[in-house]
Amino acid sequence: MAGFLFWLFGAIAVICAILCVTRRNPVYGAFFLLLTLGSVAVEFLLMHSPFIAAMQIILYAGAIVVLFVFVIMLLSLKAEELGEEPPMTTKAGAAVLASCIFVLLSLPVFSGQSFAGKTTEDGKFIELNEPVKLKTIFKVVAMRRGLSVEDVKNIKIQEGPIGNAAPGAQEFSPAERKRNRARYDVMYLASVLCVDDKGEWTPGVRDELVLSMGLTDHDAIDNGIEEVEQSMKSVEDGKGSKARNGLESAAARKTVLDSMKRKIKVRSARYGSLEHFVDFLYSRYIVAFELVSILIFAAIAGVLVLARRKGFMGLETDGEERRGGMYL
Amino acid sequence: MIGVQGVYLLSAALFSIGVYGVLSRRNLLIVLMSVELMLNAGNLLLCAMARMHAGVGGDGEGGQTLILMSMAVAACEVAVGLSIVIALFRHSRSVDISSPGATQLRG
Repeated sequence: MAGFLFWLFGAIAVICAILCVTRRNPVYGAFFLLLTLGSVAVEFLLMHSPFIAAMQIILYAGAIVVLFVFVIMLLSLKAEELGEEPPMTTKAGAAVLASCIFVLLSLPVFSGQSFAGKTTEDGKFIELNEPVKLKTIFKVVAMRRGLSVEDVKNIKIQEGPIGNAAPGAQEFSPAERKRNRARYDVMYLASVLCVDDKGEWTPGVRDELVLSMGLTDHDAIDNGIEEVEQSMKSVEDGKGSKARNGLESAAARKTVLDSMKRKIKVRSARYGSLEHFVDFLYSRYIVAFELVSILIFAAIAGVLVLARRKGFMGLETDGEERRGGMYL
Repeated sequence: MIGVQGVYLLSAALFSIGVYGVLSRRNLLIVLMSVELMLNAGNLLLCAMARMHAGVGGDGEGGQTLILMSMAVAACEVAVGLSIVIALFRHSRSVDISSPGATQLRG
């Protein structure tokens, strides 16, 4: 759905942008500019940036396009004052140059550059604002305990006495063996829940892994890890082997998952929210914020100087038509 | 699900349409609108990159703040640009950037 909306509003934005730059009458230009900016605001919204989308509407539609319309109305241009259309050769040259720039700018897409690592494998954005999944937490537990993705993948569930040695290590002293026991149990449970019977990743786990490693909501993951470690302890304390054997059946796995899901409280990330935004706008970026306000004051002064009429308060007029601005 | 590639293409398209507008039009109002389109294309890509890097060593906050700053600067730029349009119109009775008066604007 989000993908469909993205392409729909992207198409509207591009079509309206083309109409905006090709209309002879600037009023139509301003109208299509407004539509383009609105569509871009929807794109911001789809990228989990509601505050930026609101600012796009308020600042661009509310301030900039209205300013354009004011000036168009103030000048109330006649047809001969709009200026001549440039010759076709100029337009063709501009079109060729613009196409070259489009190709150059979209080169990273067409050359098949990889965006992997921070996106999913096919370049999609990782979903934010979603609760952390239990599987992810197991994965993170296993990874934080020194296992690579390949290690977790290669665990043979059925083979070998559990708690004997971690993958990659050859021999352990009894003390080390005991210390590694809990670690291996976590790995075991993670492998049971995240890797299917053929040893393959359960679909989507990789994306969740990237998400969890880069997610802002570390508290949720830490809570989850704590929960998992507590249940590991209970497994180790008493009916460890019983619990392990019980996990072999799919129904038992589901029971464990459900009980843990109830226990683990997850909060969603708050990327792009106003709360998130204001946090750093008034702390880390306070200087930039102040500089922009100074710039806005400078712009106001500049506008007053530029749009000023010659003469004092409009008293000395040279009898010309009163068009193109009020007297100051 | 939205991909980085899609945003890349959309942003490149909007930017090149803006370039076409700046190069092919002589109406100063439309030229300013085209500049706005180009700025918006930049903002769109910034938003996508902030979203892409969200959580990796930060929360994508730098990109989002930069969008806000660039919007404020765009508002200033349009205000000053439009007052120059008014000055040009008073000077030469036209908003054509290739009109004789436009080449002699001296404040």
